[in-house]
Amino acid sequence: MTTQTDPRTTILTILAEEAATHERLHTVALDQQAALLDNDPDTLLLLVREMAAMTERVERLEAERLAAVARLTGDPAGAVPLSALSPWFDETAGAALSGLRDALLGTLGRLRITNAENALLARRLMSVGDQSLRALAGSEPPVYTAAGATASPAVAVRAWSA
Amino acid sequence: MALSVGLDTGVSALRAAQTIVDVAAHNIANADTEGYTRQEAALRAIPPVRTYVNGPGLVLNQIGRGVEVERVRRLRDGLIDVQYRDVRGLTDEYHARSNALQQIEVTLDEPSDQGLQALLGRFFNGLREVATAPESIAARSAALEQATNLAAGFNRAARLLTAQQTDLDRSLDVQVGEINARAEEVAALNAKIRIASVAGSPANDLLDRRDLLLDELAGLAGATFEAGPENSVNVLVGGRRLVDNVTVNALATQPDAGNNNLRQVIFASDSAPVTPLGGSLKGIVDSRDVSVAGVLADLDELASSLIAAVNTQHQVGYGLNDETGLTFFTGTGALDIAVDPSLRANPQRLAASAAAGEPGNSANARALAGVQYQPLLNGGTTTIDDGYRAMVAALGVSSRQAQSMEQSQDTLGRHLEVVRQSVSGVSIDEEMTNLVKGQHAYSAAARIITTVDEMLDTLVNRMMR
Repeated sequence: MTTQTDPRTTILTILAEEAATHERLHTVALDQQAALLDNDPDTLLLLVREMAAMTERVERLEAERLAAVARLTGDPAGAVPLSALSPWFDETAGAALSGLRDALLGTLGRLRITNAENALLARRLMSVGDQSLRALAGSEPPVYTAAGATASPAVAVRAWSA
Repeated sequence: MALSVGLDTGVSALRAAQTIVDVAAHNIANADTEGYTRQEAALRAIPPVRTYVNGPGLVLNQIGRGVEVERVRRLRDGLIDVQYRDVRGLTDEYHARSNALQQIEVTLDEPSDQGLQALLGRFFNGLREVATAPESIAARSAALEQATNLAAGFNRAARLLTAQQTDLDRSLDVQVGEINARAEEVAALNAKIRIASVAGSPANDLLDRRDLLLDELAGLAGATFEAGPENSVNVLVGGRRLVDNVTVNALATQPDAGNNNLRQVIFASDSAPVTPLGGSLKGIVDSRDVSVAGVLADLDELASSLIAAVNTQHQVGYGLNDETGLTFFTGTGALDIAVDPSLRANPQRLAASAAAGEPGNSANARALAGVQYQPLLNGGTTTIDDGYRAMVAALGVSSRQAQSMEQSQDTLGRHLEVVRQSVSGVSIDEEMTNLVKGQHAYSAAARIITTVDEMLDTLVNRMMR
C-alpha cells in the first residue's frame, strides 16, 4: 500500500522545482546567446543538448503537476488554472502558491524574451551562413562531368523557423 | 518585448550579419594575396535596456537589444612575426653569403685541370723537364708556356674576383634603393593607419601591407621593429631608426677611402655608417669585404711570394747565352703577374744553369722547381702548394657552412610561415567546414528554441487562465 502525499504539497513542491528549472533554462538561454554572438558552434550544441534535457524535465514536472491538480480538484485533465486553485488552499498555502506562480511567470517572461532574441540571431546567422557557403562554393574550382559540362557543387539550404 | 526594441534588435543583427558576410567575402577574395591576414568580425551584445516592473516586488527587467560588430580583427600572432623576421634576416644574409662563396668556387674551379693547383703543378713540372734537358729549347719553351698559363690563371682569377667584388659593391646601391623604397612606404602607411585609427575605421589591409614590408625589410637589412604611437611601427637598422613614425632617415652610399673606395652604407642625414645586424645587406657587405676580399688577398700573397721566390732564384742563374740577373716574372700580385716578355721571346735566357759557361748545368732549374716546396707563406711556415690547398679547403668549408645555414634557416622560415598561415592564412576548406558546422549548430538551436517557445506558450496559458 502506497501513501499518497497531499496534492497541495505536491503542487507547491512541483511549482518550486519548475521555477528553479526555468531559472536554469534562462541561464542556459543567455549562455546560448553568448555562444551565438561568439559564433561558437561547439558550445552552442552542448547548450542545445542541455536545453533539450531540461524541456523533457519540465514536461515531466508538468505532467506530475496536472495529475496532482486532477487529484485535488477532481478534474480528470487537471486543467484548472493556478489562479483558480485558491479555494482548495488555506491562506498560508494560498500565499505560497500565489508567490510561486508570480515567480514562475516572471521567469517565463524573461525566458521568452531571451528565446525570441536567440531565435532572431540564429535565423540571421543561418542566413549569413547560407550566403557565405554560396560565396565559397562559387570560389571553388569547377567540377566537370563525364560529358565535359561543369557541375556546381551543391549547397544545402535549410530553413528553420523559430 | 516592446515592438521598438524588437525592431532595433533585428536591425542590429542584420547589420552584424552583413558585416560577417562582407568579411567572409573579403577573406575569400584575398585567399591568394601575399601577406593577407584572415579577418574576423568580433560581435558583442548591445547593452540591454533596463526597466523596472511590478512583480512580487520591484523587479529589474533587462531587455536585450541585439548584437553589433565591435570591430573587424586580424587573426595574427605577433610573436610568430618576430620569430619569422629574425629567421628571414638570417636566411637572406646566408643566401647572399652562400651565393658569393659559390661564385668564388666557380671562379677558382678547383679541383680541375684548369685550376691554379693544376697550373702550379704543371709550371714546376715544366721547370723539372728543363732540369733534365737544360739545353733543350723545346723544354724551355714548354716550361715558359706553363709559366704563362699559370700567370694567366692568376690574372683570370683575380680579374673575376675583382669583378665579383665590384658587382657586390654596385649591388649595395640597388639594395639601399629597395630598403629606402620600403621605408618610405612604411612611413606613408604609418600615417594612413594613424588617420584610420583616429577615425575609428578598420585599417586591417593597410596593416597587412605594412607587415609584408616589415618582413621584406627584415630580409633586406636585418631590420628590427618597435611599436610606436597610434599603431605606428618604427624600423631600426643596425640599432638606429630608419623609419621613425612618419619620417624616413634614408640610407645612402658613399666611397670609403679606408676600403679601396668601395661603397659604405650610411644614413644620408649625417653620414653615420650603417652596421646591419643581418639580412642580405650584411651578407653582401661581408661577402665583398671578407669572403671575396680575403680570397683576393690570399691569391695576391701567393702570387707575390711566387714572383719574389722565382725571380730571386732566377736572377742567380745563367741562360744558354750566359745572361744572368734576369727576372722570370713581372708584376706584383695576382692581377698583373706575367712572364717577363724578354724571356718569353728568348727561351735560351731561362737561367737553368748555376754557373756561367755551363749550358748543360741544370742546378738552377732544379732550384727553381724546388720553390714549389719552399715554405714561403705564413711567415715561412707554409709552401705555396699547401697554402693554396688550405685556402681552397677553407673556402669550401665556408661555402658548405653558408649553404647549410641558409638551408636550415630557410627550413625554419618555411615552418614559421606554415604556423603563421595556420593562424592568419585563409583556407577555403576551413572556412567552408566552419560554416557548415555553424549551420548545423544554428539549425539545432533554432529547433530547440521553437520547442521551448511552444512549451512556454502552453505553460503560460495554463497558469494565466
